[in-house]
Amino acid sequence: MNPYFIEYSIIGIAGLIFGVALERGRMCFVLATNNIFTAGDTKILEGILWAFGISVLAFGIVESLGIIPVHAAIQGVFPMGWYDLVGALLFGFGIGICGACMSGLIFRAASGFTQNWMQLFGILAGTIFFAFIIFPMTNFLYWILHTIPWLSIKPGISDYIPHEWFGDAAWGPFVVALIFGGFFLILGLYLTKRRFKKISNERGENYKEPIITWNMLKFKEPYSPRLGGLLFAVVAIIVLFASYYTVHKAAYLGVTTPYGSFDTYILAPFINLYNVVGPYKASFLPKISSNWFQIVPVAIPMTFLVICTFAGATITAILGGEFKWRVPRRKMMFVQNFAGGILTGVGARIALGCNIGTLWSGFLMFSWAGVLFLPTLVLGMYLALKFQELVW
Amino acid sequence: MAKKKNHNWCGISFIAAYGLFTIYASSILSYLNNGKEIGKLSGTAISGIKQSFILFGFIFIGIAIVLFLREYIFKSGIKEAGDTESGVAPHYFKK
Amino acid sequence: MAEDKNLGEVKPDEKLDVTGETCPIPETMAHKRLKKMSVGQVLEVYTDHAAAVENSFPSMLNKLNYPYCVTKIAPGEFIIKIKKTS
Repeated sequence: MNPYFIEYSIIGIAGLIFGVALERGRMCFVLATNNIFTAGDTKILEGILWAFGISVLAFGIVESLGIIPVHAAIQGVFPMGWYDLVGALLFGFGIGICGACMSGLIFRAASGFTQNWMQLFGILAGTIFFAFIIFPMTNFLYWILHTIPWLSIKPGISDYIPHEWFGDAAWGPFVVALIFGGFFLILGLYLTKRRFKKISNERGENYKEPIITWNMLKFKEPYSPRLGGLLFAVVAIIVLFASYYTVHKAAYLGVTTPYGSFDTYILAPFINLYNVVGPYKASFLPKISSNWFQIVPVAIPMTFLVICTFAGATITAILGGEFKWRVPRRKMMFVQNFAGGILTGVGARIALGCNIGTLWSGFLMFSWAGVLFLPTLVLGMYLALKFQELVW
Repeated sequence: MAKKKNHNWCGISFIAAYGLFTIYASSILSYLNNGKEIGKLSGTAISGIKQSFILFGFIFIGIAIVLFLREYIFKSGIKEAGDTESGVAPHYFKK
Repeated sequence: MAEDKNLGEVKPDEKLDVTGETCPIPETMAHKRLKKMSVGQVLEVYTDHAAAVENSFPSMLNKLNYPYCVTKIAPGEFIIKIKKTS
């Protein structure tokens, strides 16, 4: 059997699960942060913390036991740098004013929110805008490679935290996973306990939420975010194993690059974006080998994962009776979401990934990218929330 | 203000559209791969990816047909629309 | 505060339609409208964003301490009635 066929098919199934987890668990970073800022509610955040904690711990164990050797695991590592901070700020503001993050927009768009389709078009436009205008005009790759030494690209294994801290020790990944993953998981468990205690005190009864019930499995009610988080972790592990055991290359989840692929698929009858990079290379980038469009293959497993995520989310939205063609009353929202989409797309490209590709996968890769992405992401989302409260 | 409309036909056509998009994407993979210098995929990779794109394209169209039957032959979607009882159990309220 | 089933029958004083908008706009607009209203009045919010009904609105209203009632009028369509108590 063709190994690529097996890889893509398994990842397609993982994508369907990812879509179900997103749609049913309402796993949206913007929703989580907004709930914290406006009401101090942590329900969705707990799910995200579970997803991060469980998957980081699992990846650490897998890499420590050598089931997936370190040299394979670091192949897909995104290097970190100052651009994570800058990109995350733009990205956070963009997703804040759209009301959906890069992954949240998938389930919103897939359950019929027209304004999130507008955001998606904005991201597609922003990706092209970045690749063909900002990238060559600003000589972006040069700045990535040659500025702020303590915050610039370190090649390959030097951006791998276990190597940085413990050298080649086999238990290195496990200890790092225990520190990061353990922190996320314990924080998640603590927040759950605190929320239950608060509600119990208010109601005067022992309040608990089940993680899983029959009604959830029958799509009668939404999943608890913690179940969504568990499914997230399962998806990340499936993707890692599927890609390693078929084509011997570890793959990490990412959503940004696939949107770039969609651009080329949609525009393919008119223009081949993968080849059109050539002239730019000659005129603007004498020293730099290529533009981002040229680096990325025409299809990466994540492209397929995202298509399947859309499908999975739409299927469960229909089965759960939640699909509806929703047009916002104020048509201004289309403009706002398109503009937000452009910011989202440009920000995600500057940071080399989005809240999935850089933030979550950054932690999974044991790279500093995730840590750097987080503070300005939250700042951007906070500014967007304040902006919206001011304007609307 | 009550607008009881069932829009499931729209979602079903979305799923069919994803399927068509996947099949369409599979057909242009090798065209896009030609002339690439850095991220060029091998012939095996292109044919394997093509196969799985086409497989899932047909799976999505199949799912769309199944949901269409569920919606318009078994009428279960319409039954759900009648379920308008109060209370969707917000997670956080006091008795 | 509480989910108050009796509110379901109350005639609203003001109506707010946030069809098709995603968070945080439904909560933000409802909050702003509530600020303008006088105590004792009831606001009816029409939304089709399930996540707002499940998470954002209850947590915001619990913080504000206003009673509310959610009615599912169709798949994915909800009416929230909120009473301004203070």
